Amino acid sequence: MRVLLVEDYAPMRNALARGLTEAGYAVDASSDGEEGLWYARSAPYDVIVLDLMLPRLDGLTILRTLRKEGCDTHVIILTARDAVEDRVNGLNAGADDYLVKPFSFEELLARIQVLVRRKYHHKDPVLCIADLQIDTIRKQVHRGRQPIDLTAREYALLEYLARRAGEPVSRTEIWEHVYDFHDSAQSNVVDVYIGYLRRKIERPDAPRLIHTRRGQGYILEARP
Amino acid sequence: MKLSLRTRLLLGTAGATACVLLSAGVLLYRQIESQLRAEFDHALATKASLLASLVEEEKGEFEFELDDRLMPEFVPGDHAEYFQIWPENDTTTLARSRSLGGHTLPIAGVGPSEHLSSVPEKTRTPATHSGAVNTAPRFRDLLLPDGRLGRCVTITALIRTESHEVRSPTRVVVTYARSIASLASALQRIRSLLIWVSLAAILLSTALLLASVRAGLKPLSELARAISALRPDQPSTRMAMRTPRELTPVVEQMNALLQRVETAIQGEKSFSADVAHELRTPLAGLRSTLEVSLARQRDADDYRVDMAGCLSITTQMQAMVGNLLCLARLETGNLPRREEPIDLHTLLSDCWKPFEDLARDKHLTVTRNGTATHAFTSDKDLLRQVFTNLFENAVHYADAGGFVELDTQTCPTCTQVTIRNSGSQLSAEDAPRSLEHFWRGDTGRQHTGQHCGLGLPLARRLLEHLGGTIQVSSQKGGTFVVTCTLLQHTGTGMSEPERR
Repeated sequence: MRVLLVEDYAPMRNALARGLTEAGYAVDASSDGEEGLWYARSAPYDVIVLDLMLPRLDGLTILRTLRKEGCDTHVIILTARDAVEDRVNGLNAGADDYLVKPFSFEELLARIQVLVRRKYHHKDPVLCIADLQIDTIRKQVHRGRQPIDLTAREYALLEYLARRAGEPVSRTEIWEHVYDFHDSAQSNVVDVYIGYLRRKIERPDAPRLIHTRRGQGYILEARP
Repeated sequence: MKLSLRTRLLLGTAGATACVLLSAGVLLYRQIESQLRAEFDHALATKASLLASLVEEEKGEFEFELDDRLMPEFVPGDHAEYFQIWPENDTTTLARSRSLGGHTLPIAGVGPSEHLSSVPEKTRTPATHSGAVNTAPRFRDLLLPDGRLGRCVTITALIRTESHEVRSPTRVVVTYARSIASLASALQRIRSLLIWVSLAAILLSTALLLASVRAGLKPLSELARAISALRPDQPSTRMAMRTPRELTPVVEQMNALLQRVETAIQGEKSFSADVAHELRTPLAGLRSTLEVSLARQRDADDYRVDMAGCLSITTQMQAMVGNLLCLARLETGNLPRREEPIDLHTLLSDCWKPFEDLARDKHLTVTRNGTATHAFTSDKDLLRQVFTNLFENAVHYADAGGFVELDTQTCPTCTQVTIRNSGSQLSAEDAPRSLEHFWRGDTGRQHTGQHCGLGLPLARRLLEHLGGTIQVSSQKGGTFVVTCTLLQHTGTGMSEPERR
C-alpha cells in the first residue's frame, strides 16, 4: 500500500516514514504543503497522512483542494491542536480521520489500516483467498496451516493483490501502490517480485492463486 | 472619612438654598423694617406738625389749645404719648402734655446744652403756612417717662398769629414722643414669620433635593450594578450606552477597558494554546522516534542514531522551555540584571561563532561593518542571548547563497547593532508581527522544529529589560533588518530611561 506523508517537522517525518516503510508501506514523504499537493495529485495513494501546520501551503487548504478536484483518497490529519473546533474543521474539510500529537505510532498504523480496508471494502483485517490467509495486522501469511515467510516488499505486493482479489491488477497499478517514488523505475521489477511470490505461495497440491492475464496484469484468485 | 456623592450634593445644594433663603429673608425683613420705621416716623412728624398747628400767637402771647377729650393719648395713662413745645430760640416751655408730668423731652438732633437755633439755617425749609415744618424732622430714640422704649421727633414749625404787623414769622419747636411698642411688636411678628417660613422652605427644599439627588444619582447606581454584574468568564461583554450624557464617557472608557482586558485574556489563552501546541510537536517527534525505534530489533548504530535524534529534540525543547521561562520572568519582573563592562566587538564575535558552519554550508556572504568600541555596562549573559537569537534568526532564514550583514554604530548616548539577512519572506506589514510570541511568517517548522516564534520576541523583551529597543523591517523577497539600540551609560550610572 502506498502512503503519502506530508509533515514538515523533520524528526517526526523521518520517524514516521521509517516506521511506515518497515510496516510494509511504500512511503513518499514531503516537508511542505506545495510539494505535498503535487505528490497527492501525481499518484493514487491509498492513504495520505497530512499535517496541518505546513509551510507554503497549509494542510486544510491541501485537503479542500484535493476534495474539490474529486480526489477521494483517504486522509488522516495530524496536528497538535486538539480543540473541538479544530477537529470539526478538519473533518468538515474532508478528512477521514484526525490524530492529535503526540500519538502512538501503533495507533497511527491501526488507523491507516482501517482506511486501507475501507478503501478496498474489507472489514476483516484477515484476507482469505482459498486457503491463503493474510493477516494484515500481524503481517503474517499462511497457506493452509503452513506459514509463509515473505519479505516486506513481497508482503506488500501480496497484500495489494489480495485486496484486489478477483480483479486484474496492472503492473502500473502495482508499481503505483507498492513502490514509492524513490524506487528506481524498472518495468520488470514487478514481474520479478511476482515470480518470488509465486515460488513461495504456490503449491503443487493446491490450486494456483496468482494468475497472469495477458495485457491486463495479474489476478489473485482461486481457480479450480 | 470621605463623604458620599449624594451627601456632598445634598449638603452643597441644601446649604446654598439655605443661604439664599436666609439672605432673602434678612433682606426682606430689613426692607419691611425700614418701611415700617419710615411710616412710624412719618406718623410722628405728622402728629408733631398737628401739635404745632395748635399753637397761636396773639399780641406776643402764645396760646396752645388742646382738648384732652380730642387727644386722650396725652393724658397720663398706660399708652400715653408726650409732647413739649418751645418758642424758637427760647428754652421756656410753651406747652407740654399732661402725661409728661415733671419730665422734659429732649430736642432731637440737638445736644443737651444746645438749642434748636444751633441747627444750621440751611437745613431749614421755607415755611409758608402755620404748622409748616421748615426744618427736616429729626428723630431720636429715647426712654419715655413711663419707662417704655419710645421714639421722638422734633420739628420747627410756623405758628398762626393774629397780629397784622409785618414782622418775622414766629416759629416754635415741637418735640413729640410715643412708644415704639407697637412697631417693635409688629417687627417681632414679621421676624418670627420670616424665620419660620425660611426654615420651612429650607426643610421642604431639602426634602425635594433629597428626592431629586436620589433620582439624579440613580443612573450611577445602575452603572455600578452593571459593572458588578460583569463576569470574568465573559470578557466580550460590553456595557450598554443607555446612560445620561454625563456618564457616557465613563461607559465608553469602561468598554474600552473591557476591550483591552478581552484582548489580554485572548492573548493569554492564545499564548497558552500556542505553548501547548509548540511543546506537543517536539514531544510527538520524540514519541514517534522512540516507538519506531523500539518496534523491532535494531543494530546498536541504529539505536545510537535514534537516541541522538531524541537528544536533539530534547535539547530543542529545553531551549524552548528556557525561552518561555525567561519570558515569564520578564513579564513578572523577576529576571535579575547584572552590570558589567561589555566589549561589544568580542561579545558579537562570540555569539556569531556557533553559526559560522551553518553560514558556510548555506554559502552565505557574511560582512561586518562599524567598530563599536565604546565600552558600556550591561548584563553580558542577557545580551549574549539577544544576539544569539538574532544571529540564529538571520542565518536560518537567509536564503542559500544570500548574505548576513552586521553593522555597529556608536553615538554619544547609544550603541546600535543592525543585523540584515537576505531572503526575507516577510512583507513590510508583517515585519512588526515577527516580534509577537509564536508568530511565524510561514506556518511550518522547516528547521528541525527550533523556530517556534520565540526568538525575536524574547530578544525584544530582553533588550527592553536592559533599557534598549529593537526595531524590525522587511521586504518580501528582500532584506530583513533588525536594529537594536543600546543606551550608553552616563558617568554616574545608567542613563534614563535605562533605569526602570
